[in-house]
Amino acid sequence: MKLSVPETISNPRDFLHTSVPQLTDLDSLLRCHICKDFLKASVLTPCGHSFCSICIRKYLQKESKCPLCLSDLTESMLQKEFLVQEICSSYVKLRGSLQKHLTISSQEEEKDNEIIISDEADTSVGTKRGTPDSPSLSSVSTKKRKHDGITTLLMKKKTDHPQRQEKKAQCPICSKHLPLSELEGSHIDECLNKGSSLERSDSFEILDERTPSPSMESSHQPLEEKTSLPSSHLLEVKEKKDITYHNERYLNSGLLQQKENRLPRLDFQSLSMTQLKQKLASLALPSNGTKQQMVARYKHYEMLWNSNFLDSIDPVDENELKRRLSSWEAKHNTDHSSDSNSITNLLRGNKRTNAISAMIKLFKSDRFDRKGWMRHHTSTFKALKLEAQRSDKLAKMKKEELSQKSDANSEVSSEPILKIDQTSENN
Amino acid sequence: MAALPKRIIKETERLVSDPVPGITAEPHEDNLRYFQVTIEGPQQSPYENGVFQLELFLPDDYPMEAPKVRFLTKIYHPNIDRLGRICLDVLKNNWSPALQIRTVLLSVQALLASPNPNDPLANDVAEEWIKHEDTAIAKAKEWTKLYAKPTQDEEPAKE
Repeated sequence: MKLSVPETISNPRDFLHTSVPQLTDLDSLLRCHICKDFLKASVLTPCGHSFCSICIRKYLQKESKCPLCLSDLTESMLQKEFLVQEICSSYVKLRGSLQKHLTISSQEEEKDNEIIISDEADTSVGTKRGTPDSPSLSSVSTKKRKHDGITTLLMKKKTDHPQRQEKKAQCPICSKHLPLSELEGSHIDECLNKGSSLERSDSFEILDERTPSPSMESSHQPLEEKTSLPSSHLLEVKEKKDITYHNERYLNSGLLQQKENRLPRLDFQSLSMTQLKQKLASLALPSNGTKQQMVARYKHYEMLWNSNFLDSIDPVDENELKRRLSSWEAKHNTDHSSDSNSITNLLRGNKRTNAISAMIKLFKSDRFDRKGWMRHHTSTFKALKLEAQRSDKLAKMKKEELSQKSDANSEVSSEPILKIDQTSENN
Repeated sequence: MAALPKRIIKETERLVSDPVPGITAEPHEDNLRYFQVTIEGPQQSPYENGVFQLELFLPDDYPMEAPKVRFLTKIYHPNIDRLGRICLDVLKNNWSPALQIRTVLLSVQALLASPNPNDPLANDVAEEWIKHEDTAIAKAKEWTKLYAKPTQDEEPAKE
């Protein structure tokens, strides 16, 4: 699941100075006790504690106990928990605007909650969170940005779930076009039941069910609902569908069929080098490096894989996993090449140069830390780019002037560049 | 350099902005995984009025692995040897990633308040502690006076 990770580091205590300091409590509850960040693809232990799937799996490779209560725990005991995952994602989106609004006015009325909620879209996608705008600005431009945010959110969703839009079919009852899986899975049932539940006025939920796919939102508006609501609420209604995104995803999580199986733990002791290489190759992973490196690579990939395909409500594809693996490996390897385990070594402060030489060693392999390299050399790259642009410009100017000169055969001004150019061409 | 995990940044921020009473921890400017720590001796312990310097290092695998903590100030304590190494369960077997720098340092402070000679690291000190507790405590007080001097800005005004 890709949450938009805030640039700055958030802290539960951010809420201490808002009108609802108790949110500090909620904010801390939604965090993983290992990485201290919001739970990502959270899993539940038999002892009742939740952690990010990745965090706890990583720890369980070292120790077989729960970090919080130290009771026995193995990876196979972990249970995914979609509800908590969605609560967290939803909260993470909401957090910025919550904070912003709660710091503005100390007395938020119940009714204003609508606006707060609908604003979630814009903070999560449209703008970068973490640096709250000035209060006056945000309240003035709320409406406009609301709109922007939603369109971006819609676009984002579309790109996030291209596969969901693929096969569509018409519902025989409400004649809406829906993704086939959705239709077969739950929509028809819902449509059939709708007649009776409509009376009970839970329009919020009905809206949910009728627009299960984000792609539907702009085009197909059920008529009777449009008319049943005052027109001034139309905008709000539209937003509600975005607002219920996580709820929907949670409700529809049953439809996710688990495509991928658990990657098994391997007994590396009994595996020969060739067997290990075959194993890696069968997963389309690089099989270079020492045995130790290959083992580490497999272990990390196993962890990424299992936490992604087994635990996450919104798994990414294998290519993304491989990308994460290689960036992890790049970091991991440079860290170890500088042998940073002893305090004294680190204190010498030569880690930087070590890291660079280690990077160069890896230059030809696929473990090369491209990003790190870029970061080290951004300034050089920029300088080179500027240099190139300048000389390109210069060359163009020369050319133009040359052609001008040959056309008119008259010297407009005494250009030193021109002269140099002429001489060099004569030579 | 490889990026510092968010968790470490977060912990550092909190340590600086909301320090634990009697404990300071500041990251070294060249290496943000290396902290210079001071712990005040707990009241009603032989270490009262002393300020102890420690170093704390977060290994690459932190928080999967416990931080490494060591006393730099000489201290007479059955669970701390003359090299400053500390015998403390949360730094060894009972480490858990749910713990953090803050909690570890609090545990160290608690260890000062309640020495445990039955699980010794410095055998000679522990023996003395069991046999002649009074003299051991006196010695601990003496060492505290001698070595664990508060730095100037923390010194109480004497006028």
